[in-house]
Amino acid sequence: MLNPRPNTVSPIRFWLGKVLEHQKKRLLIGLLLALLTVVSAMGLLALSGWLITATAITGLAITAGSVIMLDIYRPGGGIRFFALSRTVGRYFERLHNHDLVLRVIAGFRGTLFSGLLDLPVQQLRNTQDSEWLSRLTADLDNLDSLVLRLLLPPMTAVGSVLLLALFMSFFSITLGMIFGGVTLISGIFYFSLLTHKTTQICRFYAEQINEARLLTIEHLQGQLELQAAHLNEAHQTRLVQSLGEIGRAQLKLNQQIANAQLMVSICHGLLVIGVALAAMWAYQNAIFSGPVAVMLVLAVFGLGELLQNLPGQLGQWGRTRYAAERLQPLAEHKTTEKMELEQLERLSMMLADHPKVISTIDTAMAFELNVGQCLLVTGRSGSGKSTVANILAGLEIPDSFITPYQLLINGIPMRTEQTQAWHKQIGYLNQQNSIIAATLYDNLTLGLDEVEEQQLWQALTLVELDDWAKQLPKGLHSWLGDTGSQLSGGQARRVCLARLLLKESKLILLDEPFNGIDIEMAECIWQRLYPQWQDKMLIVLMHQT
Amino acid sequence: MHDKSLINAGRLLLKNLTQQQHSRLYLAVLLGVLASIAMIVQWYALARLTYAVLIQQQSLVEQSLIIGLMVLALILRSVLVRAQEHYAQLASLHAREALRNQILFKWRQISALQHSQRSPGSAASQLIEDVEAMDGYFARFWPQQLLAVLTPLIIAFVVFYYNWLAALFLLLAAPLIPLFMVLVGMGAESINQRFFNQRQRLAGHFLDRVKHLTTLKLFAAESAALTEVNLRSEDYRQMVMKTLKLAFLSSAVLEFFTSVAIAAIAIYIGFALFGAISWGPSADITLFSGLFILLLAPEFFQPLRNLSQFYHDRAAALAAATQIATYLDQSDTTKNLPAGDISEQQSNSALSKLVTTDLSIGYNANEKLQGPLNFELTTGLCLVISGPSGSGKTTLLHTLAGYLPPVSGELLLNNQPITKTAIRYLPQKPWIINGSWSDNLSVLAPQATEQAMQKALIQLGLEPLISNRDNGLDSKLNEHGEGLSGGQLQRLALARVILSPAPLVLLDEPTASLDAESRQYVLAVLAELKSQCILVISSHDPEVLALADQQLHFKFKGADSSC
Repeated sequence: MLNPRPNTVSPIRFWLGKVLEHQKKRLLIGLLLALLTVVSAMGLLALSGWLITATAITGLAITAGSVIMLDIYRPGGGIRFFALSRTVGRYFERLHNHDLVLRVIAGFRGTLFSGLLDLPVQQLRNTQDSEWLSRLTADLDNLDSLVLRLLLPPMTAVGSVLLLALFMSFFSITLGMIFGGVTLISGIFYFSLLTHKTTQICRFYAEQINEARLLTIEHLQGQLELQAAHLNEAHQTRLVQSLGEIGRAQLKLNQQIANAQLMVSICHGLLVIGVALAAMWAYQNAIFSGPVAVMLVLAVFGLGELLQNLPGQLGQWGRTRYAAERLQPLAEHKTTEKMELEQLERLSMMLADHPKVISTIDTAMAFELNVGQCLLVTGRSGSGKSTVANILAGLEIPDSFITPYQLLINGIPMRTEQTQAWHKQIGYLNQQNSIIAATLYDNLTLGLDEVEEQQLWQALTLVELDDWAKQLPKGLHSWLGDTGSQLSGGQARRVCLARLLLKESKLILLDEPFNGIDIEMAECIWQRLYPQWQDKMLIVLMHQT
Repeated sequence: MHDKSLINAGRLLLKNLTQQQHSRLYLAVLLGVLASIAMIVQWYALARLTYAVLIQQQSLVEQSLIIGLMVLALILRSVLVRAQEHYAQLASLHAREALRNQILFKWRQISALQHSQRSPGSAASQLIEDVEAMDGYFARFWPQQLLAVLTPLIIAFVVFYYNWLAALFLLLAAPLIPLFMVLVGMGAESINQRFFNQRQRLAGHFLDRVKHLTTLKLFAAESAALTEVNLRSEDYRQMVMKTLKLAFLSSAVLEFFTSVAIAAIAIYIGFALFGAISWGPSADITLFSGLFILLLAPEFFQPLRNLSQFYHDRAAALAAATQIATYLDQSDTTKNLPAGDISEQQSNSALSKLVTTDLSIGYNANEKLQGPLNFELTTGLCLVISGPSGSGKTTLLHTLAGYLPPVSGELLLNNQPITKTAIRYLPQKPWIINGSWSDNLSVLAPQATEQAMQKALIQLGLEPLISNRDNGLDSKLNEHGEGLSGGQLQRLALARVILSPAPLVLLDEPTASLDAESRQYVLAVLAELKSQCILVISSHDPEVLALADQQLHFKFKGADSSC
């Protein structure tokens, strides 16, 4: 029930759908700008070819004595125009398309975040894991290839081939049709082959990277034991092997791309030669004039610079697909049922034989608690107190096959669908001090709609942080977290306590509330907090002292 | 932000790595040059063909020789480019391998404690992703920076032969391009740095919210966080676009020069052919030479355009190289750690002796935690260290293991420095690898036979966990031992110790946070282990203390103990 549903849409299509949904117009403009650039580049060469052939033929005729008029200023103006439109087109194309990519990635980030918000809280344990987080960032970064490399360049290429074929058709429909047909069919055939091949290699490559990462981390975590035993070098051999695999996979991928470049280069060269022969033949049979023949050849020649980048761009297919595939289940909107929950009056719990909690079936942990009562749970560190707290908060659900377990709210077992409603009724202080990177004000008012500053100062006074907050550079609006003021462990703990005080909750669940706070201060704060929570249900978990 | 000397260290590292790959890289450049020549032949043939048919009015059939030449040159050119990439890629592969080996060598030299000062995740990123990011530098940028000079020169030479004025024009435009690009590029670089910081900040914000999803959910702050994530992305976009407007000027400059040069050459050739210009070499121009020069003009600029595309490869490689060079240049705190494994394991029948003379310990030379300590232990004896946390129990174990140099005094195992002998160290949190039971045992006990493993597991009461599994010892531990209790993991780690006896065994709190069952197994094994080696244990457990032949009780030194 908690597993995401199997994918019904292919990952690339899923993310492309998101792009089309919001950015269709901008995508079209981007395509038009790209086409303008390519057409200008081709036009510049084609018109230049026309001009020099026309002048050469006319020049010879004039020397031979005939009187022929040739306007060389208008084509010259055209050439200057194309030179300018190519420069301007390229500049705005790049600018516009980067703007588009930033919008697209912003959209992806939002989609991904709201997808993660939809995940049941029991599945969120990963998010604490830095490995998982770094993979998430890498995957998100890889998705920016989607528009810039996988979508726009092939569309531009197809568009310019079609335009060129259309242009040729003005002079010879047969030549235009054959050129367009051959180019598109061979292009599509070859690039679908390339994307297919790189999909497998990229997957293999990404898997090798992950494996090497895990091995490396293992190797470093084992240093204390490996170094003492003089087994460091021996353990590195497997790592070296795995790193070698990465290199080989990467080489394979690059070689595929290079092969594609080889094919594109030969195909384009053959196209130039083919069109040249056809145009020369048409000239000799008086179908084309000389300048037109050279113009068409040079237009095809000008297509080269667009085509030569395609293999490298489309070679990103596999990597992008892999990232898209991994992010899709996280980003998909999940329709998890949400259920309401009665007002908490009575809480009871029973737990035995949990692998992380020291309690057997004979010494099962069980209690019942009413509003206004306080429960103190003690145990050595490592005895599983935090696991118990997480289970009470609905953040973990024990495996019912191993662990006999019950959590009853007013005598009724709590269901997973009620977790969200349960969180509205409880205030849970877990062992990690969860300070988000934001201002002190934002941290204290997390999830609250309207709070008066007066209340915040009251809460800060209760945890002895008012003086500290007053001397902060921007008071309540000072930045905390990684990039802001560094908090000591004790200060962070007290900010978390103050935040809990501001939240209206039925059950207060405190896991090692005074971690990092010295005994005198803890005593003093506890004397103040306890009366505040008199009319609530209070569970405190602390290690034995 | 980046110190100049640091960047120089990065440059030096890149230079050394390319020097090792010189033969492959120069071969790649040579192949690239040959490909350029084939390209010139290809367009020469096309211009010849056009001239013959259009001007000389020869029939197409007579041109089979020149058509053949064109096809041949095309194929040769494509194959040469492919070969160029092959060697450049090989050079990149070997350069990255060499760099990884340097990093791994460094890893073997620094002490385990120094390793623990960096998060393993970021160290792994350096070894894997950062080195991987250098691929473009060796495979693309380095050969291209030579080709971007050589290919245009060859083309200019050929153009010069037919029309020195056009060649002069190309040669004048070409050096202007790098000049302008440098001017615009320098502005863009500082922007890029700022842009990089902003990007980091945006990514940091997003990851921060993802990391705290549970808290956001506990406080019902989801929708506010989503709005915030979207707003941040929008701000970032606006900021970046402002700077990109300038940064993209450099590519516009390149585009401008390419276009203008082609246009100017085309118009010049056109006017010359028409007879409108008659001075200098203009009178000699034919459709052949005109078309040939026109076809070569875009090819003249193409290598420069490629180079500018690969420029970010250089920036990425330099950033990574700077980081890695800084890391590699760090001096080691421990001097006598062997870079390789010493294969000879001490036979455990010999009697070993551990002697400390006036040993003082601590993490800093001027902040001694405990000492002077004097003790002498021989095989069969057990020393138990107790004391409050922070008093130096683990510090002493680290010193005995050779991870930390003594603040003063001396420490000898069998009259040799401690790092000369392989010993066993069991930290508080056992090291569990992702693999099977036998993988987890053999990783620290490579010589152990399957029977010995079975026996050790029975001794520690772990046998029932695998006896009903299909693959026995080869069955997987769940991912990083999840599903096993802390006590079971601790017993698994201890099983390795008894499988590969060493003259000295150091154990850090082996019975803390164990359930009663695990504790009994561990205590029984410790009692047996004691006869085979010198045992040093840090512990508060009275039953462990009962094993002790000697005891050390640490008290706090100094006044910095805070409560």
